[in-house]
Amino acid sequence: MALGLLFGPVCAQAEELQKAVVGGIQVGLAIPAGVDLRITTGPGLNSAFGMHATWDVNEFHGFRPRLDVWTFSRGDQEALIPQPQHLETWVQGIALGVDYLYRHGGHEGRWAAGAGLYLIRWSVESTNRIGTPTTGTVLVAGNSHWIREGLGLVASYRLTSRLDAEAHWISSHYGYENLPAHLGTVGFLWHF
Amino acid sequence: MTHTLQTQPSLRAYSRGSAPTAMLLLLAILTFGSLRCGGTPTSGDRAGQLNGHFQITPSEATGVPGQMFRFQATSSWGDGAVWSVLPDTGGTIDAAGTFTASTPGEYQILAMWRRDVRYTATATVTVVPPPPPAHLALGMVQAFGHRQGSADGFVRNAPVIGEPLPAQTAASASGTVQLRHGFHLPPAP
Repeated sequence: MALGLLFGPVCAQAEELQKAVVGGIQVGLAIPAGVDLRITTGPGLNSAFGMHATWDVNEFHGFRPRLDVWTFSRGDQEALIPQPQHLETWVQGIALGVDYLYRHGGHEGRWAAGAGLYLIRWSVESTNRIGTPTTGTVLVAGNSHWIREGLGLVASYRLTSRLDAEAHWISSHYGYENLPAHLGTVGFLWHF
Repeated sequence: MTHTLQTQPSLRAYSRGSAPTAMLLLLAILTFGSLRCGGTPTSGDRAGQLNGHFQITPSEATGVPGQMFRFQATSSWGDGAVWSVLPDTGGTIDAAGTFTASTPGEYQILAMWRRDVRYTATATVTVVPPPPPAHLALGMVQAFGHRQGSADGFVRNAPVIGEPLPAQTAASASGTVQLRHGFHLPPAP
């Protein structure tokens, strides 16, 4: 009885917190934007998936810590000048960060929009081949990675109580030359 | 209870008023950030962009078979290269960038940056046939060798092919040792 009185409020608070925080996963498509990332990635479909937790501070404001993985299709570059070169690249990004969300209309509203801040680990797996059949060919493969900050804009629309459609824009940099790396994703968020 | 009733409306008012403004501000920051970091059409991590941020020194060299050249590949973000020769009949190059010429011809020294193999640099090596060995006949002075320029501007004679050692060395006024060959006149008949 005494224990019940003691831990009763704590349990109630934990339950409320549990209601305010929900986990989930997201899947979708990533679309590279900007010259540099488009050249390094291929024209095929690029997948975006990850996991998130949504914490509603109140009816209107919320935060969404999230982990996203973007896997881009293999990019091919060909050059004949100054000498024949074929470059194959495979880009991947892993982003860890948090979105701030403003729910238009509170809990009753379907639209939410916000902005995010992320740390992104970009990696590029490359195969560089230079030469011709007459001179011989040199082929070297390697993997490079960098961690850069990223900013994002997000908009989501609640389809059901467990499913949201989301559009996400991320602006970052990558590579030793700190080249712009922008991308958009569209997908679905499923809440547990 | 009274406290709850008073705070709830004020929280709503705050929420509705400031969030769109904050969002617009973030959108402005994001747009500015994207514009500031525009594309770089000649970035060195693309095909066809050689010798940009990653370069080989010297970019050209000439020598004879058996001669060794030391190349260095550098970038502003660190060194380290994977070296190759094209065609590989021109000689061998080791991991430190030392090329040993073997067959006369024009060859390309290739370096790919170890940290990001998309960055590529090239240098050209011309391997010339060795000159005929020195031949001395009575009453004739002959010398064969390559004139080589050095960093300090002095022109020096390389060791003569076919002679075990240069005939003589002499010091110039600046103290630089120069190699001289075949300067002794033959004895009078």
